Amino acid sequence: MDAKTVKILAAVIVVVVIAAAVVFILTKDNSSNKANIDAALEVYGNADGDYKIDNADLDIIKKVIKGEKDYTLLEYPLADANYDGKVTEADVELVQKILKGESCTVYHSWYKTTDNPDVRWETKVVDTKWPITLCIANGAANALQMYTMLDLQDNIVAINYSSGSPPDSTLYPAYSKMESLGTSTMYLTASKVTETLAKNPGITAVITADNKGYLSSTASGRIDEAGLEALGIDVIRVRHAAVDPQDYGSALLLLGFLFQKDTNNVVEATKWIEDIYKTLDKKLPGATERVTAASTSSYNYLSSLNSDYADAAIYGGGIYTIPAAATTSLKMEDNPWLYNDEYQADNILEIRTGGSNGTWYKPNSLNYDLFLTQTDENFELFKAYKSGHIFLVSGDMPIFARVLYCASMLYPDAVSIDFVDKVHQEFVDKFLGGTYKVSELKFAYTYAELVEYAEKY
Amino acid sequence: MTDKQSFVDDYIHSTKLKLFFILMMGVLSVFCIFLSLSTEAAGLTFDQCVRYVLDFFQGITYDRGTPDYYYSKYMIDYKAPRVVFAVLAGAGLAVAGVAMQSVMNNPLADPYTTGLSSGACFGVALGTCFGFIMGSQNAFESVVFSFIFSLIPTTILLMIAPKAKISPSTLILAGVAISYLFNAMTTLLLVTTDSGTLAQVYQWQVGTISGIPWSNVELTAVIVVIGSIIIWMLSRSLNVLSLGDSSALSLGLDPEALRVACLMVISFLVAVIVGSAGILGFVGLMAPHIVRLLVGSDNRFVIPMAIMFSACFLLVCDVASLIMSPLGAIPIGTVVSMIGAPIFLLLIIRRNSNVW
Amino acid sequence: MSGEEETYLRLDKRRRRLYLLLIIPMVLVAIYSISVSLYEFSFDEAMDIIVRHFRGEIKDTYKDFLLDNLIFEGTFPRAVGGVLVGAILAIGGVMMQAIVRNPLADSYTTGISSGALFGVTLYLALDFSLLGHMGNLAVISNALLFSLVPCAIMIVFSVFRKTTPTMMVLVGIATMYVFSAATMLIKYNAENDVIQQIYDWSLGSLAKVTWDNVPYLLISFLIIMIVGLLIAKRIDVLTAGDNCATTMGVNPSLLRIGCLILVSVCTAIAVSFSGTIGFVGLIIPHLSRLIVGTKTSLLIPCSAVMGGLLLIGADSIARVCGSSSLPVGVLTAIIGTPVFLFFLLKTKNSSW
Repeated sequence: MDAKTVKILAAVIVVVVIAAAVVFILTKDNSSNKANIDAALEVYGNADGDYKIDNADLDIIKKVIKGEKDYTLLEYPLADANYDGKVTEADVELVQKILKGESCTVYHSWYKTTDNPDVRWETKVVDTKWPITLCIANGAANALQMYTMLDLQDNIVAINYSSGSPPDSTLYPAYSKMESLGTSTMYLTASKVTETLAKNPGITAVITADNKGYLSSTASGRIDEAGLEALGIDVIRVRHAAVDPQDYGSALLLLGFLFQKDTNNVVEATKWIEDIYKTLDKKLPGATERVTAASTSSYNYLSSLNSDYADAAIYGGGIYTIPAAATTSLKMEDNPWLYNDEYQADNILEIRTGGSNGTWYKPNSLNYDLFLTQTDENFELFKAYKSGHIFLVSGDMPIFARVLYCASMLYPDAVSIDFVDKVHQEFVDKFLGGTYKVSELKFAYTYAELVEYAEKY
Repeated sequence: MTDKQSFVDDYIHSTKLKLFFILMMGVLSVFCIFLSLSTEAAGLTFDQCVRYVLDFFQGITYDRGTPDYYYSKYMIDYKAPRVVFAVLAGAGLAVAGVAMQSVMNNPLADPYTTGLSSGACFGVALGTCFGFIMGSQNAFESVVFSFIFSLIPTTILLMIAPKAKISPSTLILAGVAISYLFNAMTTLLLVTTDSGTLAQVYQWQVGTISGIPWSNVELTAVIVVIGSIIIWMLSRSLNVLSLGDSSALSLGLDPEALRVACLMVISFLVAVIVGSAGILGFVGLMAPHIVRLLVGSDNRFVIPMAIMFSACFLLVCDVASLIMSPLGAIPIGTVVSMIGAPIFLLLIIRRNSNVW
Repeated sequence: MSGEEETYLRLDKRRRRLYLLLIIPMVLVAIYSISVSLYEFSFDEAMDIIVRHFRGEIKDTYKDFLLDNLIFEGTFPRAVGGVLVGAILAIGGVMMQAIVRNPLADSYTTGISSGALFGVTLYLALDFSLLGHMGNLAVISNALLFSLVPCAIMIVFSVFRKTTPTMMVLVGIATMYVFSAATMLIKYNAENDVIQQIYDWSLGSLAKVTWDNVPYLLISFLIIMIVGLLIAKRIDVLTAGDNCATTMGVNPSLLRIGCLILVSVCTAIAVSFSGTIGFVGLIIPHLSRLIVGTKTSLLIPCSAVMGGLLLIGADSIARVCGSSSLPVGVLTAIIGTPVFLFFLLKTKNSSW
């Protein structure tokens, strides 16, 4: 080969290598830990407020200690890792322990719903022994989904559920084998908890939901949150059923952190959820084309603004017409003011769970007749009913799916049902072990479809 | 001479028999206490339960996180107050029942059937809904509220008392009306709060002896002991009262004053029990009747016997509810009503129609 | 007859006819109640809609459709139903107080209220409907059938024992307690909103009364009214005492049982549509006694009118109290209690 060819060859190789490097770096960036997540890990010590605790946080803390410009406790409240009101060497030590995976006490967020219709959650900072290896957890369907996403079944020793709605054996096989420690997802029986704690000495925490009714009773031999804390068990309240993607993401990140789960998996799950909502946002029409909606969880009530069902309609792109009220569900009979024009919506979304009337995961098992009769009897005076814009959406599915189906019902052209089904199936395959086929089932019905199905079955 | 002697002998003999029954009842009570203590106790066996209780009295503590720690805490903070309170509630309600039956001269009177419990219950519900009483704390406020509101039925009862002597059903009907009123008022309160608070208040209202903190138990103990002693010391006067107001007057008793005094004590007893445990109906009704079958109608014997019988009864109901629903689905108030209501019905049916 | 006696009789008759005047306010209140609702519309609008409905002139607009439904399917049958239920409860109260000879009895003294509540709880919490219906119909049928059980128990019981009035009351109350214990048991494990539904029903509400129910209520009312008037004289005799009654040719036990069945069935029909609304049957008889005296043949129509007036009046007020309407049972309890206490203090020992 002559010199010219060699030079050209060299140039080509260099270019190729550089191109490959660039491509490699770019793609590496996409799957690297620099993921684009909005949700924050709400743990003290996560100074930069991103989704994990890493050296970047240590840097910030050290800068705050040094007193560098723009680095104060006010700017970075989460820098105070041990929550003692100041940023000192102790905070550095704590974060170092966390990074090394050593046992310590961490401080993080806690949410509980309130009675006040204007305030959804009260929040405070609680301490927890970290990392959690074993725990007792709430057994509601949404919670179980989160645990499955994070692969927590080896960490959860026992759950509580009501005998009327036990964990589905196909969806959550590991959990459906567990005996319940309480009469429902809301309560734990002191006797059973003591037995479980005594026989499993590594249990340090109880995971429950943000709803204030949970772990609030001491009647009938139950133990409440205060009782558990008195025993030295940390009670962790997590918003399993949050509709807002950032709230849901935070909950996922928090649990993932507390159980010291592999960051990548946790991030993947959180990112997936956030991405779906972002995709939905892009698909929804502009502000001028939004429609009004009202939702309900029961046949003769409508939900007020400060309820999860209203959230589903709102995140699904609807404008919610019913104001917040002390009782989150308003009976039509007692509140005929709902018929006033200002409170009427163009669409009504009935978000119902099957319960004794069948389940959406098993085809054709639903009592369509009952749903139809209830709809006809109770909603016939609304404009939405008259125009046929009343929809039945399943409550027996992941929260984000619920939102997506609501969006599809409200904007059938912009958000096609096929798209929703596809996304739903993706979630089932990725995180629930592919246990059901969305294409064989139907999770949302227009009124016309409901009539059709009621006749068929 | 021989007649008089045999009469005295008979009397002594029957008194000894009554004392024997009381002693037996006492033994039974102790047995029931141990039975209740060891049922559904986190999988512990009987001797283990006893051991943890004794350890507590000896001042032995365990390290956090060990099985012994959890078992010990459970026995002392959950099981023991439950059992102790059951005994106290049984005692208090029995005393209230006996006193009420004598004072109102009505064999069907008891704190529940005369609407006293409902009044007290409304008081606590009012306090809870207005934020004065938070869950199982504020034992003292609980008692204050329930006492104040139990005075309303008490006053009504005092007003009815002269008319109630004409017919026993008047008192009971009044009790029904009073209960209905207070239930309506309680429901009005609950309807204006959300379903979470409603469920909480309802769960307490239906009668529960678990989750009662030691401060409540201590307060209850003080009031029940004092109340029982007062009523027991008045037992001779109560005996006389059953002869009728005019007879009582001629024997040097002031029936009105006695009635008021007894109803005050009864209200206190009911208030403190209802304030902690909700409504435990019929307990004060059954004990006196069943006990009278064994020891006759002399209140000096009826009261101690009824105390122990009621305590046993509540403990047995507790065990029954635990066996029927280990997770605690059936509250003790329901079990008590399910047993007490048919017995109430039976008591009415069995009576000779001449008596009514 | 002397002049004073003539004046007395004339004044007496006039006083007793006074109750007929009450019919006017009752009808007026009932008509006005048609326009009372948390969805605001005026009285004129309401009347206009009704007139147009009968002429078949309802336009196709949404507003007309809504008003037509709210009024014609809502407040109008509610007004009629309210008057009828109030009348039935009041007449029931009069008869029960007479046959058990106690001023504290009312139409629920036979245990109907708790039997009905038990039936309703069975359906709402356990989905068990005796006749296999769904929805509202299940609630009604369960309530009706189970409310008659205590009455049946009483009848069976009376076959084996001589039923004195006191016994009747006590057995009724005892069955009431048994049923309420059973209800408590079922209710305890129900979910929160089911508990709320049960509570709502137990306090009574006229909201669910529809035109379909009105014929049954009307028949029930007519039966209890007409039969009541027919046997009014015999009931009067009963208050004199069982022995007196027998000598005057009236069989007290038979009369008691007959009245019991009559009151139970008619009240049960009323209760199954409206839930238990208390205190109406308790205090109305006392109030009417103030106006027309103690003759049953006058008490019955007077109580019917007063009962109707009270219930529809209370319902109208309850409908607009607070942001969500109050259950009417609460309002009758609030109104009824001072009246009840007043009469309790006032009645002399000798009357009963």
